[in-house]
Amino acid sequence: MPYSNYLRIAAAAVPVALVLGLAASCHSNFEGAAGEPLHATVLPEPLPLPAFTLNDEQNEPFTRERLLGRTSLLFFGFTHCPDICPATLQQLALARKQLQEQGAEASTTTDTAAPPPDALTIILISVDPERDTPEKLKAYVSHFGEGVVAATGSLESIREITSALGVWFQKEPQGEDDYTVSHSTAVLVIGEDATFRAVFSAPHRTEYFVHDLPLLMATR
Amino acid sequence: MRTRRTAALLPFLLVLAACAREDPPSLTATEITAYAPLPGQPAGVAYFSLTNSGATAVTLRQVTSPEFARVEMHTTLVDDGLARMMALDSLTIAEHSGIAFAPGGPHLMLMEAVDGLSVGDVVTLEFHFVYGEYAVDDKRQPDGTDEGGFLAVRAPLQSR
Repeated sequence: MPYSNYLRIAAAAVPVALVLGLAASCHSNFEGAAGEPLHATVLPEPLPLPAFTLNDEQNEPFTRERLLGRTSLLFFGFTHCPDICPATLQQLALARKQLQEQGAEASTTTDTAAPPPDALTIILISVDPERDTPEKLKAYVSHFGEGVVAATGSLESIREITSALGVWFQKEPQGEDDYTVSHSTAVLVIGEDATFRAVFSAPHRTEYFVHDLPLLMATR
Repeated sequence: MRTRRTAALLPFLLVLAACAREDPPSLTATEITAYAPLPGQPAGVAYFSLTNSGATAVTLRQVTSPEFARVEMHTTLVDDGLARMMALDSLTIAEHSGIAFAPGGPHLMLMEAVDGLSVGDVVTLEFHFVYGEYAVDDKRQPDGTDEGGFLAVRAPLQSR
């Protein structure tokens, strides 16, 4: 089946907007913590991720179980995206580095607000499996430093997770023999229990992640 | 063609060779950032701000570079949380106005780099624009004659 036929608008997906709307009413769940997330929208109830099977940049299986035990930031994009995808990954990588430094500092003080080092993984899920081979993904994410991984798979496999999370993507022809992929810009926060807990909507800023993530990670 | 210099030694070189028509536009480019293609990728990207301080609208019709065989203007449209990228044929900057090429908006795609181009090398961006009575679909090339304008800026190629 042609690629474009697979990439019909994910009408069956839970629209992120609905999630956001529902979440807005429950924002106060985090009141009383060391602070309150100012930029992320917190879901009223964590949404368990479905089972899925992708392959990571090492061509190893990448499943829901890989998300257990640490907080993950999911971003859906593709490596041929020259603008918003690398900009977002760069912001996330910088935020992770700053949080690591804060965590390292906190480990020598009584400050417990910052997350411990290495507690955060950034995951690019490519919605362009046609071009994003494991080799290309490996070269791409290695540019952003440690803690950044990538995964992709068949379109059916990708849709197993995008549909559940309300993430949208669609192949768009560009000229006679080229294409781009339109996609959601949100960064999804996945908790240590592999549940979808919060979402950052574009436009993204490094400082937004740095402020909110420790608060989100401190909430179990 | 390519001269390796440090960024500190490189105040952006502005060469405005606009035509001698009456009331020529005053176009300047600042905050220029040119990123090399990421590993395995075909295109780099460039961002900048363009300011038209003249009294005539300016239409940016094409950008070229000696260091890249193809330079295309694109924009990322982010609407309701969805990002779409589309090519731009031209972009008009109103008089006494400006526009920012920035992440999540208009940007240049730098494609098919010359052999050996690497981070730290200086790249040149050449803006070809038309103004006044000359329409976007004017077939005459804005090559520095009185049919349009030309603005060249130079900046070091950076790594993200």
